[in-house]
Amino acid sequence: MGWKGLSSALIILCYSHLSFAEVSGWEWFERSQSSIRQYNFEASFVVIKPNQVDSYRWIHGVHRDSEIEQLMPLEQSGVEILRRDQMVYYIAPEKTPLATKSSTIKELPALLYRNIESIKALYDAVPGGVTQLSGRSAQLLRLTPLHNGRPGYWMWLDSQTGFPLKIDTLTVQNEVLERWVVTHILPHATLPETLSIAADAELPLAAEALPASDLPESPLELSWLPEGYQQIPVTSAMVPAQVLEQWLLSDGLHQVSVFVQHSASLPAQAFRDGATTIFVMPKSQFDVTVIGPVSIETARQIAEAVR
Amino acid sequence: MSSEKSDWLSAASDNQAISPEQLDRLLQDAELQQSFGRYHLIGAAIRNELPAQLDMQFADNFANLLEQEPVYQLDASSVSHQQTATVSFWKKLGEAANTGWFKTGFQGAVAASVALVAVLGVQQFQGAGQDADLNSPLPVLQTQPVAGFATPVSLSQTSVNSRFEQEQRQALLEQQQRLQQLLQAHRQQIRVMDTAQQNTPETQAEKPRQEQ
Repeated sequence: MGWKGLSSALIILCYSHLSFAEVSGWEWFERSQSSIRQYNFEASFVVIKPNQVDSYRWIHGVHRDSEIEQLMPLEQSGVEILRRDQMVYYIAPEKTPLATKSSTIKELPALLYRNIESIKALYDAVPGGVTQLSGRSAQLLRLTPLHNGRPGYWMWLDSQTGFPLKIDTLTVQNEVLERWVVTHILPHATLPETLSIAADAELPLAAEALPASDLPESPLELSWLPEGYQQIPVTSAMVPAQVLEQWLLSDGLHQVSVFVQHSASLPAQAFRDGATTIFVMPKSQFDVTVIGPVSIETARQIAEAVR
Repeated sequence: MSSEKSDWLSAASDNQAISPEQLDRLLQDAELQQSFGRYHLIGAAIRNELPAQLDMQFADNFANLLEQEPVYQLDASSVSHQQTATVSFWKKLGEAANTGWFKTGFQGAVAASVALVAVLGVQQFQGAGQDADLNSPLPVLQTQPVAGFATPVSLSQTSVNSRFEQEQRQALLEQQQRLQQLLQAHRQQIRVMDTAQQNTPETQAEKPRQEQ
């Protein structure tokens, strides 16, 4: 009896500890997601890739219960991305602005904005130690993929607010592919001044005329999708002219594009742009290019599934 | 006196400074100018700067060639009428071109026309770029520089050393541009995917999942 009681107590202790750790990990994650939605702040961050560094200015505010967010790539003068609640505007000099319905700016880490339930289906969140980062105490949160082929994420969150300070995108072998680092944050009590102009600015409506027509019927099909991915609709107006077929796959967090083009007699090649794999596979009649944050092996399997 | 004279002349021909008085003397004295010219020739000979063969009759030869050149006339009546006008104009221009200020003015005009061509060329180029953008379905936001965006990884089947042939480099560049375009298209699709999903009826979005 005593032995049974002891073991069951141990088991209960283990379980409660495990579940506590799990909840705590996702709790951190939730805090991080809500912090970037609810605070007024001005921040700068850099995205570091092996052969490239991009810096951005990022301003966020809440105004009359709706969010306003501005993102500016610092190396490109005049380029600006603005979000007013459910509308995102891409503004570049001498170009027609692009307006699209979305509640997130896609150039910001998708991890911070996607539905937490869809991320829970793909990742395990485990909190790590506390370190010092840019003079702040930062909590490490490791997101490990449940299936191979997806990148892992290590996030460093501000211990007080949960605000993301640094996000590393890693391979299965824990090699850093891409690093997102906040270099400066300035919290505001109210809506940042620069955003108050944008809050009331006249902006074009969404391109309602965006043709929803499908691509011309092609005999090609994608016979296999990686686990967790499904096809989502492609805006045919934005498919480049030389592309015979484009598919867009999504697992709720990552997106993979599959392009089919006329053959340019290229060898099979794989490239990396940060965490994005670009895989080219020549077939008998055409070339298949897979672009997305998947491992080279997964990209090869997708390319082979085109027939 | 003579050695003193040749000293400063020699120094001057070696590009060293001379006093204003010495310059005045040089400008007035024909004998000094001749020896100055001689020093330069000697210097050039010592420095091995003399041309291999001095063709003194180059100008004469060229004039002869011009005389032998046949005269082309497309439309006798109108051209002959115009020719008198243009010849007189160019004659005047030729005379005027000998005066100092006109020379500089003319050179300025040439430089300005070159600059104009350059600016025009660039503007036309930019114009062409914009036209291409207008023809493309929707504006593409270039968030990455075109050059050097991706590094080959282990699966690359061509070795790095064999790539440095001119043609292969060209092919590589074209491929990079092609991939760059696809990368942009990929990013562009992600930007508008929420709208695309809202526009599409649920049933269509669900269909691929069932197939899977």
